[in-house]
Amino acid sequence: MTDISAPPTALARPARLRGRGIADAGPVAGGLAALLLAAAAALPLLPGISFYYLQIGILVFWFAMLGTSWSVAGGYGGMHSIGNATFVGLGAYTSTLLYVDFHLTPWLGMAAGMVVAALTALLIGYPCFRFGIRGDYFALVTVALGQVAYEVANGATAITKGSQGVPVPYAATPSALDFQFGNRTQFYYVAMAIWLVTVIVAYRVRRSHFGFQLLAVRDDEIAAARGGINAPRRKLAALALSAALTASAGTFYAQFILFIDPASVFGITLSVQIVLMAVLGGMNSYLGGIVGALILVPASQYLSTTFAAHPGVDLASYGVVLVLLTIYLPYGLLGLLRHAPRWRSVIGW
Amino acid sequence: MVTPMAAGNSATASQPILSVRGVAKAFGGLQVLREVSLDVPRNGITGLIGPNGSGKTTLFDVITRYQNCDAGEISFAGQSILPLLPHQVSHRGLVRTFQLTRVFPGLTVAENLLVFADRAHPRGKDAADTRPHGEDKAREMLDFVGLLRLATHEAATLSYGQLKLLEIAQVLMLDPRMLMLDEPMAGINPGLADELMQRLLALRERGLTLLIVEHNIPVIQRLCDAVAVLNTGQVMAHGKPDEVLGDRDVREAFLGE
Amino acid sequence: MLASAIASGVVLGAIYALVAVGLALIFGVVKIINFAQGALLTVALYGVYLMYSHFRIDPYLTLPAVVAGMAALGYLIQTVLIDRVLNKERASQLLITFGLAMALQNGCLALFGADYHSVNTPIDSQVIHPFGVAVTVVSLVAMGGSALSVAFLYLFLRKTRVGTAIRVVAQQPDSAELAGINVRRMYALAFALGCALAGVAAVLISPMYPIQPNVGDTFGIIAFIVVVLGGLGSVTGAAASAMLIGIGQSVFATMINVQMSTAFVFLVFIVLMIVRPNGLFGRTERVA
Repeated sequence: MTDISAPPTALARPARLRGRGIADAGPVAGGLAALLLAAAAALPLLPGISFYYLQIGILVFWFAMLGTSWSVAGGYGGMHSIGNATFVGLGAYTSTLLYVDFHLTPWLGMAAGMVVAALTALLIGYPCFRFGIRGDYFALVTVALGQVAYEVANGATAITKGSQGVPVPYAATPSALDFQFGNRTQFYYVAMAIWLVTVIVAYRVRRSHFGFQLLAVRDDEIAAARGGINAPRRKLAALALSAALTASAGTFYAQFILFIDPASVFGITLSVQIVLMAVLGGMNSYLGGIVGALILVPASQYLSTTFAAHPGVDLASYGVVLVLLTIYLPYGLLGLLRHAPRWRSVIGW
Repeated sequence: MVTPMAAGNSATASQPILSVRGVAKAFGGLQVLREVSLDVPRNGITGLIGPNGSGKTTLFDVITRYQNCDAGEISFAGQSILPLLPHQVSHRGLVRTFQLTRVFPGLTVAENLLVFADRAHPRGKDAADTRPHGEDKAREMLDFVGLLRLATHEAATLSYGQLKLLEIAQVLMLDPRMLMLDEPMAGINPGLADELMQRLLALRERGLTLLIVEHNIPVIQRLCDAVAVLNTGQVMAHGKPDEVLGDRDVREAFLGE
Repeated sequence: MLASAIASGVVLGAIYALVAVGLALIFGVVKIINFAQGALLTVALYGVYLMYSHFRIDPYLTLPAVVAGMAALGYLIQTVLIDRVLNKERASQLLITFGLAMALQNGCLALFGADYHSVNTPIDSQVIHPFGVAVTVVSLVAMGGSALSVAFLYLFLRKTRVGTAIRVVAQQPDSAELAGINVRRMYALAFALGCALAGVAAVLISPMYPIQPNVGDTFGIIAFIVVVLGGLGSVTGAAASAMLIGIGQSVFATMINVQMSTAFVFLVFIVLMIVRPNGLFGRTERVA
């Protein structure tokens, strides 16, 4: 098997020990990706493009950023949270309440929301990881957390206005400063920009030494510990980052829809949808979110318009998709590439 | 009962690098370790043998703090390590392997080593800094265990013997002061075992201290400067391999196997 | 006030127990967390409703059909779906029951609409007053039915050959195979039993709650909490902690705040989960 006596040949020495990530994609794939991005950027400029399609585009980016944010903790770190709606809601409510009650610009509100979400993640994560709660148990805790958040949002009417929700006042002259835009196109570009930032962050994390160690922790905490890696600390950092990124999407939602209530931003259905995006796309990849969203969002839009008279069909089909995924495609679409060294490196698996 | 090895032995006359005193550990009603005391001298290879169930792996777990002990004191390089967490023990330079090999199956062979490059060669936050140091050392280690050509293969695809070598390379990446190996020869063919022994001896030359759990007597005889025998949770003998293995009480304990 | 809160708590606890015991069984044997338990309860309730509205059968009399139907459904789910992911990643096992829950619940929504339905039985409005506390007869029936079912399950697991085989699979899956037990059939049986219990629960609570797609939600989620607190896989633990939670929630709702009573339960869960992950009573090991 191993032959230590023979001198190492050029063949025996791989030139690189690590993949180069995106750089490994090569000109063809890289060109294709650039083309897709350009096409996405050009979408609103097409003559006669309807609001409907722009709306779908915005939703795609929104779910994609949620999926990718989930991946940072769930894919890289093995923390399968089915409660990320908690962070969406925290982001949405923090920025909205600060805007409505204190006239703080939603941009700063977004930052505040991200901090609140990160702190919440640390608060729930610290005892969990300190006491070794992981896997299914951790998922259960996140589900319970989501429920608590939902109930508190409903119940603490003095602060959150309860189940009737909080409308975001529409400024007479919408300005970028108020995070309000006159038309869908501008929202589209903002959504795309936030998504792009999320993806870049996820990519950089994956390529960093921290990301590396996070993957090791995911694979085997005990082996990681003997190598000097403080597993709980890594997981906490990943969870907090994931929560913060998720919260930014929450603020966007609030400013786009101009109305938030517990059901729409804290619901467990949203949490499951987020997981679905990531899992369908490929949970370990920073691109999993966009791949999953590109498929699921248009599909579910189609379903809910076609079956508008039958509410529940779109979500039922989500459920069916999820079941089929776990049986036939557990690693998602991008996961199909995971054994090919070059593509594995590109998608950051 | 074999008397403990006299101080002033070939290994070193100075302080033992690992000192275990009166360690006890019970699981429920079962007293797995009772009053275990053991000194591991610097820069030597010490063997730890004993029948199955005598508590060897538990002792490893307790020393590396994967388990708490009920009583006793453990110090490494002169400092108590009892209040530490496993990853902190590793930081002090005491690293172990596991009876059932543990590597990171989701990473490639090279990545399994690079993930530990951090400590061996401290650098700034930017990943780009790691490469000149960490990668070189990883290459060296992979070459050392003969796995360099498999560098970009997923670790999950390796054979059992290769995994064992990978784990050894991994722990070496950490530049440990002392290595605790839990049955390193188990389940690998004699040719490979031979290679591994040569490498371990070479490591000893570089100043590493080793504590090895083994069932394989010839390996013990060839490798170890000293052997401790663990039986029913206590150290029943400790000394040079020939003396210990020739002792009647020790042979009885093993024949009962 | 307190007395009646406790009384309703006991009733609530009995219902939780019925749903949770099935969940505990499934977790103990198949070793997966069945997130679809609440949705299965919903499906069973719609089953009761269908037979009531189409065939005018008294809800209590639908018991045999509903139980048989749910058992068959459970058997099917295990053999066709769950079995396929048992050897795969834990994440897949987590998600498949979640997907199942979404599909079943929204399937009910799509088929029956969001309207509330109700079923009636002659003893609907009868109330008795033990110790001066008003208790409806239907809730007494629910309590009695639950106690009987849990007792029956307990005896089945302890005294019958099949029940013992199931317990062996739960405790020693590897040796069970060697002992000649058809492990996969036991998994399917356990799942079928778990669903059958949900069916019993549905029949018993049908006169008490409106039938709508979300009805199973709260029960389902609280069933987890009950099971985890009782020590996953422990049937008796689940029954005991169900009573505690039922009473706790009811008292909290009455004495402090109705709205936050569910949040209270979840908070308690989170805290206990972290502090005593083996449950209040359980000896079972925590599965990572």
